[in-house]
Amino acid sequence: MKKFTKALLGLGVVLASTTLLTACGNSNSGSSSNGKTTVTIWADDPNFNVPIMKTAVKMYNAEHKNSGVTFKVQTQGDYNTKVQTVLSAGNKKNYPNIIKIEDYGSQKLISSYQNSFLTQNVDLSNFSKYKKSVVNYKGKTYGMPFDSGVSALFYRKDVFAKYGVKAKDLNNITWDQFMKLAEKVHKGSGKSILGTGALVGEDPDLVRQMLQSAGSWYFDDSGKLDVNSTAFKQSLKTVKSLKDNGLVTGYSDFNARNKALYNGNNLAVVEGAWFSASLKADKKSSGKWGIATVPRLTNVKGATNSTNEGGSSWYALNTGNAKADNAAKKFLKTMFDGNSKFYGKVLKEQAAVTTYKPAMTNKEWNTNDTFYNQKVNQYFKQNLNKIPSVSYGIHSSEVENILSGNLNNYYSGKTSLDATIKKIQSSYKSQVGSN
Amino acid sequence: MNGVNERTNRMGWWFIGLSIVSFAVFMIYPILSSVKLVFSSLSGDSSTFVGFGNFVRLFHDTTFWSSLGNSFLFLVVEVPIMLLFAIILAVVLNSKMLKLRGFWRLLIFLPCVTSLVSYSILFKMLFSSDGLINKFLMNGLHIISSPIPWLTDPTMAKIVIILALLWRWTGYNMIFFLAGLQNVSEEIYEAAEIDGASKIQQFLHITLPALRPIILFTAVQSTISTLQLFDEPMNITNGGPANSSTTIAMYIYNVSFKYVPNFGYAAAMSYVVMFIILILSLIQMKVAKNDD
Repeated sequence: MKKFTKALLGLGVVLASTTLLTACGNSNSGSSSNGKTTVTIWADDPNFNVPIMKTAVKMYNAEHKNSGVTFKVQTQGDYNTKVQTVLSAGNKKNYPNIIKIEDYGSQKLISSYQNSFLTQNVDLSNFSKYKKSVVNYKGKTYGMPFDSGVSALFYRKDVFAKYGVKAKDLNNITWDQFMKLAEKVHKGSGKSILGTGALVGEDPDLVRQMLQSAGSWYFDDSGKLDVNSTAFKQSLKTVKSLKDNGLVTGYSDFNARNKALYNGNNLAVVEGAWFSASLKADKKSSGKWGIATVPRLTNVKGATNSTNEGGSSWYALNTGNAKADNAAKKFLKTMFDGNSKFYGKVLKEQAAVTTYKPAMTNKEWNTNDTFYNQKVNQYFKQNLNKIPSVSYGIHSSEVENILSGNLNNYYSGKTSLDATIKKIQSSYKSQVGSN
Repeated sequence: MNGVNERTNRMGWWFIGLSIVSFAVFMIYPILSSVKLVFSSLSGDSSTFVGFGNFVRLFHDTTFWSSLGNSFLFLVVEVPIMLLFAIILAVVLNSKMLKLRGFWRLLIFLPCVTSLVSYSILFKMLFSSDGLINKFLMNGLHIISSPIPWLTDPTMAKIVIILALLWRWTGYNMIFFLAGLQNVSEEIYEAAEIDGASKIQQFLHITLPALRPIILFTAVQSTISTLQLFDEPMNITNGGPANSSTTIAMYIYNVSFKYVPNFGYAAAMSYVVMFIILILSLIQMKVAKNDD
């Protein structure tokens, strides 16, 4: 009996240690046992980039039947953190082969982990020009441009019309003009006009879109903080007067904001093209929404009615397995820089507004969208190439955190604009350790 | 030594061997290698030796100080209230006159078994502007006319987090006090009663002194866990509004995983927090000892 216990215990120890060992050696990618190569792809949105990647894999496999490569598309939660964690762990064997990175964060990750990224062979002239500064780092191309967050003003055309504001009044106007029109609707209906998915002082989205519409960002081209620019000051002034006139409401989160949009307490929103899917989720409001161009900043040189919110690109990682690495690069090049049919399919199925110019001739771009009763995709297509190109830099997260601590004071009138900007500059310097 | 003892001995080594090995691999090695981290600026792939540079930078970092301040505020406000509640509840639940004691004990301890993330999300839902609490105050009791901005006002957000912490951790600490009370002999109370001591006098002069080692233990433990507070502010307010509920642990997380990753700087901050905890614990132990 005692021998039996001992044997059982020994077995337990052996078992426990083997599970430990296998956990260590568990490789995520590029395993080439039996001569087979596996390419792992990470994406985060089960309604958007995951099905899009699955479509890409399906079409690629149909054309390359004997490639010997298996593609695995994996949905990852808590995506940005997970990507940054796996890169900082630095164990190349555990890297996925292809990852999606949001455009705002790409420069940060490439500059921090340059050796982990593979350069890609991309003909950038095929893509909207603003994507170049997103996927390039120090003259080399690391990313395959993908979708765009080309922005629009989504508004309740039925309510706006009731107070005498027509579609053509809203296109190609300045924020000052917009405020006059919005005030009419606000006074008449008693509802809030614009809504943000955070408190107004903590919401970076509106400021971001205003900045980029004028070809400006938190940083200049050399990566130095640039919050003393006319565009930045004018953006803050614009948000403040929107707030002072009761034309913008901040909600505790995006769900609360979207709820207010669905039940008609909030009548408009400035967001990227991808937001359309959220509006369409509320089927009963079909026919009530319209889109127009985003207002442009007043008195700012180079201000346009085109801007961007979000968007992403695909990156291939250096996993140390040459076969898998090459297969990943070849897959991206074949599908995303050369297959217009694929782009037409995902535009139709996932409403993916992409930046690949040769695919702009697809007829799906020109069809009427019944939800808006408007040629929405055509609008996106026309504005895509007008988005001013800016360099997002590497410290956007830090700046936005500092903004959320300071803008409220300016909007509520506690601090002056100049004092607010000085405070932002000094906080940035103390936190990042440089200008 | 006889054979049985020797065998038990060997068996014992087997048992602790595994945990010692994993302790060395997962605790001692990372702690030792973090010492190297503290003196370097580790940005992504590149690492440079900066000496005490990280500590100099930290000294000038206003966000570091404000988040440290927030952590201390939670500590100073929440821990005393919680421990007081826990002692009172323990005394009440220890009383022989109370019926269904087991049931009440279970009820108050129950929050401790819920996961940190899920109870935080529930609190966020309860206190949102159209959440249950506001609806109840507006439509049920009619004491307010517009929703209270629980999560969007800097002071209110801190209050909600403190309420959440109280709900989650009071029962946990109460269990320790309840266990401590089992060791206090009934006879002392009876003697005190005969001498004419009131219930409050009994509490102040018998119960509290008897519980002193437990108060020390729970105070040290609560100090440590409050200074490492992360889950609740992360899930309830995400550090907002305007960073008013960002704790030091959240800032360390942001520096490692959200901002341009700098593990050297994050490690330096962790060491500062560790030393603060060490000093606070030493003070608490000293104070408790002096009273003897």
